[in-house]
Amino acid sequence: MTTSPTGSRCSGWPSLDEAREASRVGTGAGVRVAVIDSGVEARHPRLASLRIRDSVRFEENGGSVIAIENEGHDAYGHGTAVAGILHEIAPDAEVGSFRVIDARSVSRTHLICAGVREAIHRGYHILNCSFGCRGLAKFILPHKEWADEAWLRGVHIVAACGNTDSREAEWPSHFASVIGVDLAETTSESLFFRRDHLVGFSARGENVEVAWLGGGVQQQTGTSFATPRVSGAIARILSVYPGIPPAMMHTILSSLSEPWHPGLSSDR
Amino acid sequence: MIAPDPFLSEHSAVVEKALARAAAEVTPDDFSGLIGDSGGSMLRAIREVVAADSLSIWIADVAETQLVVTHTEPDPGFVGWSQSLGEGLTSLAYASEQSLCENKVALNAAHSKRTDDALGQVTAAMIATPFYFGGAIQGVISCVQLKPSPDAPDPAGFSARSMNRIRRLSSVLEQLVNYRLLIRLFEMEL
Repeated sequence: MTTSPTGSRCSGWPSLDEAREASRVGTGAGVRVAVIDSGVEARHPRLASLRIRDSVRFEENGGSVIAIENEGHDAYGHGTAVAGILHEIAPDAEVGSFRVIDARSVSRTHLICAGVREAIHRGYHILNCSFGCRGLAKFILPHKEWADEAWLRGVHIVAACGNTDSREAEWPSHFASVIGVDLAETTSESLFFRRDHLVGFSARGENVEVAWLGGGVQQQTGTSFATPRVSGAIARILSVYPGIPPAMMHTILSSLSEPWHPGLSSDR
Repeated sequence: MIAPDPFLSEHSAVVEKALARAAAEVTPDDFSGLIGDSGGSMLRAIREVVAADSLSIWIADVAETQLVVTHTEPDPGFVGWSQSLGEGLTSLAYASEQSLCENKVALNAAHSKRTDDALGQVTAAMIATPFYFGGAIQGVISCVQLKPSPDAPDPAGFSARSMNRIRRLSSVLEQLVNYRLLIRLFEMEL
C-alpha cells in the first residue's frame, strides 16, 4: 500500500482536487507499468533504483510466438529511454519489460498482441505503448481485440501517435479507449489536452535527454518520449486511487491538463 | 491513392496495381528523372528552411539489400553512396517506417560511422523519414547537420517542426513521383 495525501491508499473515486493532489504527491508505488517496447537495460545507471518486475522477450518460433523469461534486455535503446522517463515521473512504480520490438525498431502485429496480452494477464495496470502501427484496416482487429480486453479489465493504455501528424491514424493511439499522446513543443513538464481530437493529450518530447543503450544518454525527439510522461502521471494518481477505471482516468487527466494551444504544435 | 475521378474510379484497382509494379521497378539510377527540376527545387528550399548541411534521398535497390543515395543537396558528390539495409539510422527509418530525429547522433550505437569516415565528416544531428511512392515504402529522406570534428561544439540541432517539414516534403515528393509514374504508364500502356 502506498501513502496518500491523507496517509493511506484510498478506495473511492477522487474529486478533482483530490486527484490533483494525488498527481502531485503520488509516487507510483504499488502500480505496475508494462513497457511494451524494445526491452529495458536494467543496469543503466539512471535506472539503478527502478524495480523491474518482469523482463520478457517475445519472438517467433515456427509459426507461433514464444515468451522467453529474463530476456527483456534492450535491443536498441528505445525502451530504456521510455523506462527512464517513466522512472523520473513515477519513481516507485514497478516496470515490466515486454520486449516486442527488435534492434531495427521493427515489430510484428502478433508479437505486439502476445506481449500486451501477457502484460494484461500478469496484472499490469498501465500499458505504455510508445509505438504505433500504420492505420490500415487490416491491422484494426488484432489491435482492437487487445485494446478492448484491456478496457474491460480496467487496464490503462497510453499510446504514442505518429511522430509527424497526430491526425494520421495509427493503432492503438487512435482507438477511443486509449489515451493517445502527441508531442508538445515545450520545455514545460505539464500535460496538455485538446478536445475533439482522438489523440487528445500531449507532453514534452522534443530534444529530450534520455537514457540509452550501453549506459549512455541520447538527445531524442518524438512522441515516444512524451508518452511515458502521461503514463507516469497516471501511475502517480493510481498509486493513491488504485480503483480508477480508464474512462474516469481520461476525464480526470483531461481536467488536470492545461488546455492545448497551437503554439504547442510542431505541425506549423 | 488514385483521385476519385469518375472516369478512372472503376479502374482504380488496376491502375494502383500497375503503379505499384512500376514503382517496384524504379532503380536508384533512374529515380532522379522522376523528381526532376521541380523536386530538386523543393529539396533545396526545405534544406535551407530546416538549416541542414545536407539533405538526401535514399532509394532501396530492387533486391532491397541496400539504400542508395539518388539525390543530394547541396553537394551531388554523395550521389551513388550506398549503405546496407541493416546499417545506420536511415535503415532504421526504412525498416520501422517511422520518422526519427536525433541531435546527438554520435552517441547512438545504431549510427553508421562508415559514411562519416568515408566523407571525412562528423554527423551531429539527423532526421530520417520514410519515403513512399507506388503505395509502398521505397526509401528514406534524410537531412543532417555536421560538425568539423568530434570535439567541436554541437550545432543547434533539429526540432520537431523540422521533422514535420521533412515528412511533408516526403509526402509532396510521393505525389510528384506517383504522378510521373502514372504519366509513364499512360504513355506506355493506356
